[in-house]
Parts: sequence; structure tokens; C-alpha cells
Amino acid sequence: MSGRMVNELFNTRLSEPGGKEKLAQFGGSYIRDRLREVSFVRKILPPEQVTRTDCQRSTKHDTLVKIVDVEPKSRAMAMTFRGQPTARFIRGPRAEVAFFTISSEVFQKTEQELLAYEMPITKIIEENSVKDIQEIEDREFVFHVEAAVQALQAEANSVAAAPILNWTTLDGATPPVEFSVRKGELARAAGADDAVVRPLQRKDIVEGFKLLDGNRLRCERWLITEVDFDDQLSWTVEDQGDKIQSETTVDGYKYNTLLGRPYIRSVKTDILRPGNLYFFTSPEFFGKFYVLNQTKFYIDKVANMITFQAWEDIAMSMINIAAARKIELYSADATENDDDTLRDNFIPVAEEALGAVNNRVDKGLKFPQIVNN
Amino acid sequence: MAIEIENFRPVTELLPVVRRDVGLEDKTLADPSNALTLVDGEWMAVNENNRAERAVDIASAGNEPVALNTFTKLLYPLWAETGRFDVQANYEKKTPLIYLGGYEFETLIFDPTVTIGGAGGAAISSIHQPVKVASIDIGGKKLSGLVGGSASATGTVVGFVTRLHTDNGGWLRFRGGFGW
Repeated sequence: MSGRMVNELFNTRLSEPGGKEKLAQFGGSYIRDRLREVSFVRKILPPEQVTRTDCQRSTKHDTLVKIVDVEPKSRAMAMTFRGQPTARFIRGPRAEVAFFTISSEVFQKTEQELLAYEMPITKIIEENSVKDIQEIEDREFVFHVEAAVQALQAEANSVAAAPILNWTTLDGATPPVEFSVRKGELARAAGADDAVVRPLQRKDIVEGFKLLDGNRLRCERWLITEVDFDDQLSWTVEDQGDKIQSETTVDGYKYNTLLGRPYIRSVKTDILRPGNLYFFTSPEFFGKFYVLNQTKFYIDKVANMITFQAWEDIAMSMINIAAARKIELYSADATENDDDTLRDNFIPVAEEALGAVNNRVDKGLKFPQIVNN
Repeated sequence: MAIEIENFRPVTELLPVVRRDVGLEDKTLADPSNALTLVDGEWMAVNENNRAERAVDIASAGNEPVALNTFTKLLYPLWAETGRFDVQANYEKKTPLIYLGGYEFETLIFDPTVTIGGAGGAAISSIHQPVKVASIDIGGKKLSGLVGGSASATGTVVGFVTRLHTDNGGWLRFRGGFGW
């Protein structure tokens, strides 16, 4: 079916009795399938479907949370035949996971202008809406994880906010404790504080694992940008051994694990910025991702104006902040101190800057230049 | 006057009004345990970083918006009760502002005894009177709320009184937004 036919059908359906429902159903089912495939947060914190009955409300406003129990403390002790154990009055911490909405833009087009498109523009926008929603999921996740690792770093250094972490402080007399955030091997030897992302070293990954493995937790998956992972293709036979080296040279790296742990790669370098590697435990030690309402698709036509929108209601929380760690492959400071005024290079871009187009067609930049007359 | 759970409620339909979520410049204001936390019906400005901040300095009562920054020519009422979970859940603490379009709301976040704008201003006392924004004191808490003003005096007029609080159970009804 051609794109133009899809557009015409879209338009016709909207004018039929029950057409809106059919189209919304069609859009809705398609959207749900795509979301599961592409969001990296969903691979780290698999979403759980919840219903209203699983949630708690507030006496102060009309929004919802789900309260999650956290494992209580307990221990054992060696003792004599006559002694008795110390008591523990049981108390388990609880955390509230709050729901919010992620929505696409409200798309509008007149039915007449829709006819000017050969491509199935409505279909494309449906697909893009899914990607847009998933990008915001990932963006929120990265910010929350970043806040978690920095909070833990601050605690380890006995200060209120994470201390400056750059080449200068690491090279100084009293370097900060790198408890949950650590500079990469080449960044440590940079000789300056800059935003240059150094190539990934095998030791960077090992140090990332050790940040978690040394605290009665275990790294079970790690997150890296595609561009940083590409550095691994330059590793030598000393890093990989001749079998992997020869395989990689021909086919690239084909395994789902590297150094024994599954990795998740992302091309969304405007959200997960190059130079940032995050390491996670398995979800049961880490946090929760709840879906209250799967992606809904609204579509309407008033006179000749077609309007459509997609949204979902979710909640995500890094409940155990000790379950995430970070390696930075650049030498500049990425904490909120922003000591080198380069932090914008290391955190997700603004929402409104997401999805910037690569092509310059609207600027007339295409080659060869063809001019209508 | 006292701050209640709901302090700002619509009288007109909401669909024609554009509600825009804007992240907070100071994210701690979304925390209901913060003494400075935001209250629904407070008036906000959007700064050059596209972040929402209180339209006035609430260090003391009677401050005008112009004292805060240069982004206060357009002021927006906050429509989110204190401590809403959906505001706290998102990283930027996005909070809904009544952004665009004509509307009529009722508010408890006002001080009928205060006036700003110099000569020509008057405390809130009559229907159709223009209202402006200043820092006010309600039960010891400083807020960015509505006060009396006049069209001729300085300061941005953000609405006009449509029903006086003395005749409306303590709620001040006003119409605002663009296009009045």
C-alpha cells in the first residue's frame, strides 16, 4: 500500500462512524509493541504493569504513588550455650514510587494538506511518537541514575554534595573518594580537565564492575553508548586474544556479553552522552519501573482538522541508590559543581533539543541542487 | 485567610486554556516539607533558561515582580497543589502553569489589603478592578499572590476581579490570561 493511500485511508476512516476508535486501536497496538523493543531503561528496569488498586492516593491531591517495601535488616551471631541473641524489633523501610505522564506533542494537520504527502506521514508520526516517548523515559532514567551515583559519592566523601571530580582533583594532594563515580584510566592521565572522551579501555570496564562487586552487590548489566563501544573494536590481541581478535576483525563484536556481563548499547548520544558508562545490579536490587497506563492513542477530526496524540502514565524510581555506579571517560568535572563549565557535554540535552534533525533539506542543503522554475 | 489544600480552582472550562509544564529553577520548591514550597495559585515567571520561578522575592511582603528579574512581564498562575506526586516524580520538577488563553479562576492566594504600583493603586475592593502580583503573607507564610492595583499605575495587570471574596466565601474570582 502506498504512503498516499495510507494518508487517504487515515482521512476516510476518521469520517466514518466508529472510525476514530478503529484508528486509535490500530495506533495503540502498534505503539505498545515498539516501546518494549527500543527503550534502554526497559532493559535495565523491566517495566511492571500495575493497576489503580496497586497504588495509593494522597489526601492532599489527586495523584498516585505505589509504595514499595525494602528488605529489612537482619544478621546472625555466634554465641555460647547459655547466652541469648540480641533482639531486633522489625522495621522495613518503604519507598514511594510516583506516577507521571509522558506525552507526545499534539499533532495537527488539515485533511487537504495531508493529501500533499506521498509518504504515510501519519504512520511515521505514530512511530516517531513512540520513539519520542521512549526517549523521555530514558532521559528521566539517566538523570535519576546520575543523581543516585552522585548522592552516593557525596556520602562516601562525607559532604553534602558530590565533590569535584576531575583530573586536577585526582592529581591533587587530597583526591576525592571515588566510591560510585570513577574516572577512566586514560582520563586519569589526561594532564588537563577537558571534555575529550578517551577511548574505552578494558580496565575501565573491570573497574566499573569492581565498584559494584566490592559492596556485596554484583554488576549484572552495564550501559554504554554505541560510539564508546566502538572503541572496543580497536582493542589489540593482548586485550582480546587471537580468537576474538580475528572474529572481531571480520564480523565485529558479536557476543551479548563483554568480560562476562551483559551490556546495553545505545545510539541515543544526546541522552546517554559519550564518555558515561553506568553499571547496574539486577532490577530486584535496584529499583522499580511501573506502567499504570500503557501508551494510549487519541485521534480526532473536527471539521477538516485532524488531531492526534499519544501518552503513557509511568513511574520509575532508583530505590536502592547503591545499585548503580559510573565510569567517566573524560577528565573534566561532571558533578553539579561544574568546576570546568563543561557539564553540559556530559548530561542529557534539554527536552526541546531532543530529536534534532540531521538533514539540512529545509535549508536547501542537498546535492546536487535542483531548483524548480 | 488561610492556606487550604486547594487554593486555586477553575470556574471556566479548561480545554480552551493552554496548560504548560515548566521545570522549576529551584527544584526544592516541589518538596512539600520545604518551608518555601510552592502553593497552587501562586504566580510564577519563566526565566531565560525556560525555568519557572516565583514571580516575586518572598523574603518580605509587598515586593513587586520587577524586583526579582527582568522576565516578569508575563506572569503565570501555578495550578498544582503542594506536593503533587507527578511534579515530584519527574527530574525537572515540571509543574503546570496556566500559560495561554482567557480563563476565570477563583483563588485564595491574594491579599485584599495590599496594593502595589504607586499612585492610583487600590486594595482589592471592587468588581472589574485590575489585580497585580506581589509577595503577600498568609498565616505567616510568604507567597507570590494577587493584590490590588490599577491600570494606570506601574506593574503588570494579570487579571480583573469578577467576584469579590467578600461575596464568594472568601474566594477571589478573577479573569485572566491574554485576550481580555
